[in-house]
Amino acid sequence: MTVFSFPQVRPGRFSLFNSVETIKLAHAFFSGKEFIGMYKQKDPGKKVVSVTFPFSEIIFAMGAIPVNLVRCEDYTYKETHLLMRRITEITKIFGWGAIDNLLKLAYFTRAGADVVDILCDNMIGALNERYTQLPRYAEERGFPVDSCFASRMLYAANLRQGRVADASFDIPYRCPFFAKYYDSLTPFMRNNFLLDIPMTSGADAEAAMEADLQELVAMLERLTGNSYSDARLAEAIEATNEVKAIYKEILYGICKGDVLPYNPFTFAEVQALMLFSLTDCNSNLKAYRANFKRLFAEMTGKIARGEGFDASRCSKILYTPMFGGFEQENVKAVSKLGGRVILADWEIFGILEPISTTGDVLHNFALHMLRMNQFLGFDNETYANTMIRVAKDLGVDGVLFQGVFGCKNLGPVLKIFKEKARQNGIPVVETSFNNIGENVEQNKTRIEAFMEMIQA
Amino acid sequence: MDSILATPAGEPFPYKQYFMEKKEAGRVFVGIFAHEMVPVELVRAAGATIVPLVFVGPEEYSATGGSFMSHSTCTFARNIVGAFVHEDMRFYKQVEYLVRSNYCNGDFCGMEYLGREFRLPTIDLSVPVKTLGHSVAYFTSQVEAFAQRLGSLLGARIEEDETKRQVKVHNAARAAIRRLLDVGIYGSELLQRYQEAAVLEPAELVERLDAIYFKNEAFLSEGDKRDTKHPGIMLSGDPIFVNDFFASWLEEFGASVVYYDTWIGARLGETDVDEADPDVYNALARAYLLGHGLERAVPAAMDSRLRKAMTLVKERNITGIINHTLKFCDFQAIGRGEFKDQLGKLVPVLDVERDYSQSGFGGMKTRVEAFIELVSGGGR
Repeated sequence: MTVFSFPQVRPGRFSLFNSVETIKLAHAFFSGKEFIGMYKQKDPGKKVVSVTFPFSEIIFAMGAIPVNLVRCEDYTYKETHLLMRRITEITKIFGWGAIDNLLKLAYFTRAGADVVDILCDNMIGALNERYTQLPRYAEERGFPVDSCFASRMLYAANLRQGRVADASFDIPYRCPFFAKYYDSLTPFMRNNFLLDIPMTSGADAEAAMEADLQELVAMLERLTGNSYSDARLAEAIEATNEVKAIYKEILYGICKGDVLPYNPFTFAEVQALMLFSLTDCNSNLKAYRANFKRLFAEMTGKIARGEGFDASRCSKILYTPMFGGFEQENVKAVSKLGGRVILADWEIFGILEPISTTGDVLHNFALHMLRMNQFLGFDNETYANTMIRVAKDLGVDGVLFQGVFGCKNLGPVLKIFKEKARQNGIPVVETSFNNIGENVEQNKTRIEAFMEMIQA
Repeated sequence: MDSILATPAGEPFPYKQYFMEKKEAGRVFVGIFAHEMVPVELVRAAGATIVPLVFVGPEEYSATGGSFMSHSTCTFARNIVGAFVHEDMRFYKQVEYLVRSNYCNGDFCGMEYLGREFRLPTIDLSVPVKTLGHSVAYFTSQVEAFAQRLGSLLGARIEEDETKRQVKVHNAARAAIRRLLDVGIYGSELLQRYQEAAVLEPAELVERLDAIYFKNEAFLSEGDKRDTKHPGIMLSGDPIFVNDFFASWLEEFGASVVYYDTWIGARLGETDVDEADPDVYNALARAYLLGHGLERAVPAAMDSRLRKAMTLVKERNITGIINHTLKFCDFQAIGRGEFKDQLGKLVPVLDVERDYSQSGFGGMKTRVEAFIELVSGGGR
């Protein structure tokens, strides 16, 4: 883990100043449809595979393009989509240095400040707006209204954007309801493949896991016309290993530290982008790895130059689980009340652990997937223990548990987790929503009381 | 026990007394969350008495259960957890071990909470969601591991010969369950037999069915009691559990179900375990994984369900279907619309979603009566 020194810092008004890599990450995330179009134009034979969990290495290795279909939505909120297109046009001609220079220039004008504000505040707002609309879209088309938020949101994304994909790679890990949800995509998603991750360890589980991965590989071989090779999977894994190592450095170095590269609210948004974008590595692994490396350098650079935010007095709040969608208003509330949010779902799930690239790489990949059993496991006891361990490792002052109405698999951990958190002296507050934007005031009240208690 | 097994067909089965006698005989009670993928042959080969958690209580049980898991866990799982807490069902209190699987989230989370709260050791069984060759191989290993854990916890050696004997007697019971469709009973009487079949040991079930139907001369002399003018209603989806008032509601509304395509229903008798397979664990795994859990196995769970229902409609002369969903059930909620659309092309389908609240009596009555009126048009 890299250790870097923290100089004296001042809080900056515009946290995204000197943040071109952050903007690049966001731009790639929000331009899914545009990017896929570009890749397909370049190589019309290239196949697109829809993914929902960050196990895209196998898709890249097979020469296909993974895509989180949510990225293919049009983010019209405050015309974010237009802004993204302008950025694409500028960077195509002048490169990303031009954006950096423009931002520096614009920083001194009102209009420029607005641009920065739009970038800063509206990107996750745009995502949340879609997250608000998608579940309703699913409900209107007959998907059960009392199913969990994530399943409704993803069902709608598949209905709306599914035609982009030539195949779908689904992982119904742990939750039998999610297996049913994925199966319900079959009528309109081509080559809908469900990967069955056994919930035990040992040779039998490994054999079953590997056999199912072989089935996936066979399907992808038929689809892409490419043959599987361990070398290509190793190459993809090396790239994601690097990304995941950086991710861990950001979590345990920057998130845990006293100085943040942006103000706490913006930093939470950047973390959300990191988390959501890891699902498909923004569909371009090489660019994503480069982006992530420079993003980390940018973050540490900002801190080193004194452009960071002194968060030494901000309470650290672990906000989890949120990978299926989170309430931006909760993050705002925590930030306004002098807290700062850490988003670490992939760390809690064991997804950030490195994968060995020597020997039988497909087997190593199978072991990586099975590793989730050590983190989430066959019972809520294991999951609660993992949350406690990560909370302690991150040195958080409290945990905001995001309950979601309709969640039958992760939600029920709460009672056990609360007991364990109490034993470990970790305060917990539960907020819940059915759809984003609902229960906001009630949640705020809970967060206010929680933050008051923590800061007392 | 003999007198219990001879309880007249029309009377409620004395489950309390049944379990009390088992306990007095020194039997160990193993609670199984009421789903169909646990090889019960192994539990019985270990000499234990199975207490299937199929006995539900009033609405407040579900509310109590919700405080442990979440209020959007299926109403049935919450009700079972609540029933343990409320302690009204005495035989639940005597459960010493629990079988827990990842069959559904209710099982997965509910049994964990019961184990924790009541300090009951749980015996885990991991069930794959797919049914491919490697899934069967994996499930075979899990069934074997389950047998070992079970034997070790109960201090009993599960002999292969005894397991094979259990397979035989369970297959005999399944054959008897299949014969139920030919004796001319329907409605709540048929449901009661299926509920008993989920609880009784196989030899007891055969003895009981012989006593009240198959070898009961008085019954046989009456002939087929079925009213052929009565609409042929099939109940599909979630089962009606023991003590659930919904069965009597349906009778009261005039809906006599002639076929229960539910796992506490005809499905109990549908899949035999292959007695000729020298590897009994493999035989059990194949039967339970491939033959049960129609709603759970992916891919194409909905297709299999639709195909089966369509076949039943034709073969059983079904004139209407009540598709029964218990609120927040993992498997029934998705696809309700498609089921109604597809089966609706053959016969009228009434889609019912409910919990254990009795407040919807009026509305349900209106809906079921209108449905009966619709399907009665043609008669049978």
